Amino acid sequence: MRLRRGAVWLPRRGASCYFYMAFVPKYILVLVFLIITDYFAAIAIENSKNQKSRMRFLLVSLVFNVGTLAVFKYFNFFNSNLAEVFKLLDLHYPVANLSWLLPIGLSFHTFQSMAYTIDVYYGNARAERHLGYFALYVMYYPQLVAGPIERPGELLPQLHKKADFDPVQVSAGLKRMLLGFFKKVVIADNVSILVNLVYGDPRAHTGLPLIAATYFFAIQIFCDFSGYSDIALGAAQVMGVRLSENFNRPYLSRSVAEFWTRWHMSLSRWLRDYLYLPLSLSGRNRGTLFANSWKTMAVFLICGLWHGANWNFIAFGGLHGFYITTSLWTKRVRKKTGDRLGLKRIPMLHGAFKSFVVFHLVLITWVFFRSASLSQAFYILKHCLDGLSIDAFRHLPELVGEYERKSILVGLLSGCALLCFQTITDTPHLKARFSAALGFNQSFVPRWIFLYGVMLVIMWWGSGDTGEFIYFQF
Amino acid sequence: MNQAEVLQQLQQIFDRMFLEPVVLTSELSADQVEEWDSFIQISLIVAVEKSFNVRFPVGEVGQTRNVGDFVQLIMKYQKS
Repeated sequence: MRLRRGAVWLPRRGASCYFYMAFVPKYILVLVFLIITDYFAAIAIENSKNQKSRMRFLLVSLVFNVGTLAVFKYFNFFNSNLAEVFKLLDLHYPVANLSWLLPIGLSFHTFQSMAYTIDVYYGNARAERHLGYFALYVMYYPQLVAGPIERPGELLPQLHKKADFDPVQVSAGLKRMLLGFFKKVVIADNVSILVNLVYGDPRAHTGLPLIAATYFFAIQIFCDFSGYSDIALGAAQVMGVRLSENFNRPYLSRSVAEFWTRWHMSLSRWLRDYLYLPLSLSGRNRGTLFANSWKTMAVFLICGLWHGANWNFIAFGGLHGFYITTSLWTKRVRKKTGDRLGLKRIPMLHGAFKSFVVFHLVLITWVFFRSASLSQAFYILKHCLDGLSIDAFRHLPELVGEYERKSILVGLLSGCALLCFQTITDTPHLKARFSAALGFNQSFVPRWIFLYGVMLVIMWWGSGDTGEFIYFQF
Repeated sequence: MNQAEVLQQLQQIFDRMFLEPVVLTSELSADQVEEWDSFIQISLIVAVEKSFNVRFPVGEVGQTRNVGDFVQLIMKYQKS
């Protein structure tokens, strides 16, 4: 089945518009304004004969994208902080906050648009001459609201391709979507019950509930965001488009720097290629430890601020930046210590220890990410070890009612089942053995029973109170 | 300089930068070496620019995917 060449972009574009307008319809105007600006800016960059005017048109694009983000996302934050400073100095501050809602997915599609104009400026991508295809690149609905943040060189050529119906891709895409729904509805939403209860009023708790809620949040945010990414990648695959992978077992990372190559990979790549690299290769003292350190800190503070306009996200980014700069400064000492202790002889154990430490360092940053304020985050970190005992473990289930207890248990057991499933599918010999044992290769019946079983689990045990995806707010 | 000579000079830079020995091949990429992260990448680029007396545009450095691409980039800017 084939669509006419001229009509390829039109239905997808229409679907993308409808999808976006289902949230706040009038904000489509913001998107249209940015699309038109970047469309003409990129063509102007490509047509410019000299470097100065290329740079000028790039700046136009960057100013409009960052400016839109600044108005909708950051104005109130900076304005409120400025008002506080004026109040401290006992001065009158006349500027009121704006009462606009944040357009959904703004941080994602502005970054994707900037990737496009920067790549055209560098000569790594051609300016798209067809406004319809360019609009589709910016607002392709599977990834419009929460990524992955795509590059023009990877997405635009695929959007130009004719929409062939490929049953293999459709089947693989639907399975990927099913995995995403399972992660979101069965795991993330069920374990979020305890997280919401404890983080809703952390000062009512001490010790174990604070620790348990923080571990559960680590599970929730991974399953929520990677679940969304699975749905986005699967939906695009059904339509014959391959989007970038966004996760690669991040909690197994052996350093915080490695964590960022496995967690929200499309954002990390964006920050590395369009911010860290140009920043690090410019100015004086390029490549020195000191220059690398402050530039890393700057990038991670921006990474924190990208997530949201409040001090908690700045602390989240700052803490990651601090971990990485500390690891840069201590690299040689850690290597010498490791050699002296003979850790090379036990690489598996050494790797597991490193993953354990990195996971817990990341866990501390999740406290800032999830807390409503800095004071709440500091309260949790200060009181999470209070009164730990066997009794505390016994009393933990009493925090919630029987129904919620069952839901949380379903979430945790499903998490374990998913872990086993992914271990099997990622290990070729285990996968072959299980496929043979369950008869997956001989007939479609066991495969369908398995898939329908997963669907039933989602319907029966999925949380009745499905919340919005966490990353939708960014 | 030919490809082998560039690779040899590059190997000396890698020997200075990395704590663990790394044997360079054209196919070797950052994800195959645990120590090779974005931070060491910056130090490598700066050291290569000094050693080969070249200056790379940021956009092109970001496009290199393995040692082979990096060698090609060095050779391109040595000629120009």
